[in-house]
Amino acid sequence: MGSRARNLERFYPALVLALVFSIAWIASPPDRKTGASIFVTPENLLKLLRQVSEIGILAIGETLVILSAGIDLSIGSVLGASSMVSAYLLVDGAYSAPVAVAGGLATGLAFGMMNGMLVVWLRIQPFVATLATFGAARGVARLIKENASIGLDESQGGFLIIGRSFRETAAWIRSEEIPNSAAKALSDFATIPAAIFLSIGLISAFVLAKTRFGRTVYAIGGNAEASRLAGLPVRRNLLLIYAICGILAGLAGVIHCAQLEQANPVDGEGYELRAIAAVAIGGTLLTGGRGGVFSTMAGVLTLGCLSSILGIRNVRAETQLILIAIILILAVKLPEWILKLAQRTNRNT
Amino acid sequence: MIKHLITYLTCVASLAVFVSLPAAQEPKRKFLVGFSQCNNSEPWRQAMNAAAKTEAAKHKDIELVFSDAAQDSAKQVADVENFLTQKIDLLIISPNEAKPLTKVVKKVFDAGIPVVVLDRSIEGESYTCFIGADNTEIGKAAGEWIAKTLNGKGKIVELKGLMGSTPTHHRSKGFRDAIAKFKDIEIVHEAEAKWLRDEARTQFEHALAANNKIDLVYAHNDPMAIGAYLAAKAAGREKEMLFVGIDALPGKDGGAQAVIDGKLAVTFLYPNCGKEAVETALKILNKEKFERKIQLQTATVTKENAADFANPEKKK
Repeated sequence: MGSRARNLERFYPALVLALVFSIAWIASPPDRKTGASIFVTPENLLKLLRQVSEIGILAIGETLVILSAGIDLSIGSVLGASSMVSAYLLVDGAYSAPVAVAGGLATGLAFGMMNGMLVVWLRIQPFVATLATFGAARGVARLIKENASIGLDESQGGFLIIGRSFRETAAWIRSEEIPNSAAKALSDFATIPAAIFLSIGLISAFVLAKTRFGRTVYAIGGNAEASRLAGLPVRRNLLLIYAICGILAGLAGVIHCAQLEQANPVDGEGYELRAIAAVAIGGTLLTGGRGGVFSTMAGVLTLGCLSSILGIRNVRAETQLILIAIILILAVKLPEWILKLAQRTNRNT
Repeated sequence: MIKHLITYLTCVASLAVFVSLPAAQEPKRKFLVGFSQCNNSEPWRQAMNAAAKTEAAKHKDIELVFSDAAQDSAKQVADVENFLTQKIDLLIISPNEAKPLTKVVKKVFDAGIPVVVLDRSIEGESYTCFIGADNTEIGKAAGEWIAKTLNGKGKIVELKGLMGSTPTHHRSKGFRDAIAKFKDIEIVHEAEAKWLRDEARTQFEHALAANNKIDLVYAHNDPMAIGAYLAAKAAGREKEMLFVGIDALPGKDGGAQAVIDGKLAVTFLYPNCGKEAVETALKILNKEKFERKIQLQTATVTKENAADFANPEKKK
């Protein structure tokens, strides 16, 4: 494989995303009144960003861990625990929104540190260490209210705006009533969760590409032993990687709670696997060292486009599971095949 | 580079044709109705979907499309958003939880799309019609039947659904209220069997070991009643007692069939509102009169009438 092929590899995730997006565009049923595509409308695309925001934030944290050749299975449970802690602080503790957010993030940080310490200090394999946290965090989520859920209401408006649209947020800040207008503006569909997802993506991509910490992440994933011998602070950075992943899971939990206006101890079950799937579709290797945040975001959006178009087309839930499995495999293999085919045709001419 | 592009476009085009083929065959109906189900893997909800489908098939005007949230409220919010994108004419929803779904249902309702809510309610008044059954009433009906059948005297085991869930609470309360005035009816054992057949079997083995005489088992659903029956049968004591369940689901595995087979003495219908939902949806869409709150009645399912419930398609 030449360097040209290596370079092209970086565009695989974007290629897969473009492919799925194009299919969705063509396969979209027409608007029943105007006949235009209902998939590619600003509203639907903004809705899609909101729908993927939680998994997206989880997947960004997971990308860091996987780049370092680890894995974090606990993020779904941590999301549940942090969501419960935030709601508990707001409702049972009657604390303010910033305290609840801090509580949710701190919960994420605590479980992230737990993962990091198990991996770094006790030298437990990441799969096993985070499997333990997966159970522990779920236990905490269920203990907080003895398995019951916690509902929020408008008196917690300051917290709820984290899950809302820009217009609702603006209305809350100016403390105006939100009028029910038929004419929907884009600010009705552009949401805070989507904005947080995109910002976290940009920041993480910058940190990975431009800072020493970022380069160390790749080095650890490439070869931890060589990195250690080269004098890189492997242990400290690993701890930091798991802590960041934990905080991001905590953040996703806060957003989850605000979006649903409720925390339920079973929230986030299975989310870790969806995040890992997004990372894999983005082309980040589970053996570490290769991949990146933009690839993961492409993976997240690919899954989002897919579930949106399948939903809009009313494909049965059971069939959806099977189709997503096929896409997962194709996403990992198809770009490679297309490029090979293209190279062969080039050579023949 | 151009060749890359051609290969790529060919792939896109062929896949797109493949995906859009079913679209061409869809008949155009007058009304598009979205049915947002919270969890397809519960048998009672499967029966609800089937009843709605059967009813919709009788009418030319209506096209019914389903989504399944697989017990995830966040997924159900996205499902309803997808229906909005499709510009449905009416939404039927059986919410997974009240609180998380309230906002998106309100969005649909405020957009002028009628909403029919089934089984579990949402908060506030942003819906057109609610159809549901009352679990307390069903528990009460079971309690009254039990008191009458036992002639006001006997030892009962109560197998409960998941603790903390509303149906468990209501099915227990209605039952206990109904038997409260019978001093000689005694609940000798109660256990949480989490709606599950295998859990009920284990729990009832404990009850059998602890009590050398049991007259009746009241289980909050049919699978748990059948689980208890299996445990009693294994101990050779199934003739000693009666088994009472709730739900009366159709089909080979359902409670109605278990009554026909003589495993259960009786079960009480928990009506699934699928048929009524489609009927009401049509009334709303055709601007006919309808009731805003519809409470469906239970039915006592014994050997005499169980066949009608085991195979509702045949019932006239």
